Amino acid sequence: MNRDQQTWLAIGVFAVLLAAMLAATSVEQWQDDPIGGAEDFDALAQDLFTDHVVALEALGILLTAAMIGALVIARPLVAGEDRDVYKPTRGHELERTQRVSEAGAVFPIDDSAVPANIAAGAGLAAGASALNTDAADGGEEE
Amino acid sequence: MIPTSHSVALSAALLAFGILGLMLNKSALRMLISIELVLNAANINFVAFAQEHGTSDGLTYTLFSIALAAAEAAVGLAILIHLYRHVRTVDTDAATALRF
Repeated sequence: MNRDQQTWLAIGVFAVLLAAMLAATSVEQWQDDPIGGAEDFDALAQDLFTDHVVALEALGILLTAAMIGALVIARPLVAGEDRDVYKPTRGHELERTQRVSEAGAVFPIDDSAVPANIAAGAGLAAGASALNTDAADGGEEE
Repeated sequence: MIPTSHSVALSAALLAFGILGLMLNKSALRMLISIELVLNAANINFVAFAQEHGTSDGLTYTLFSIALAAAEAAVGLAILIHLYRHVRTVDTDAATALRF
């Protein structure tokens, strides 16, 4: 599915949901004021710590695990320890990534697969050969 | 009190805008914000029908939903930071490889 099809699909889903929103305002049984009384916090606390205590504790464990996982994923990189795991991004690779992003093209990381028309259209004709050169340099360095 | 139809309409509007933002945006950060809109639309629905029926079950589910949304946002942002370190952009079109 290309970008245009995705846009039209999004607009279609948006229109359906807006129609549902307008229909919801006309449902008869929802027009009157609600019964209320759900803001009884004593009853809510009783409910949480008696009927739903297992789910509450599991939620606490899940939150703790999510926090630890987020800290591990986003931890600062250490040059010595992480060198084998993370390849430092070089300057020209950064430039290549930025030019790719600006061109709006979707293609594999393998530079040789850049379609010529996309590279030429985005002004990357010279850059495309530079990309292949960079890939060759990267292979030689490794 | 606010009629239930108003709350349901607000929930549907939030859901619509959230899905629209999720499908039209290329930035991963904006996608995460749109997902939060969708989750909050469901929360409003839970609270609205809890008030409609006068029970606290909907409020219990809302609390669970808020906590899950917080966990999902934390992990999603951590993954976004990790991704940015490799492709140096938050554009999802640039992240085409499964590993780096």
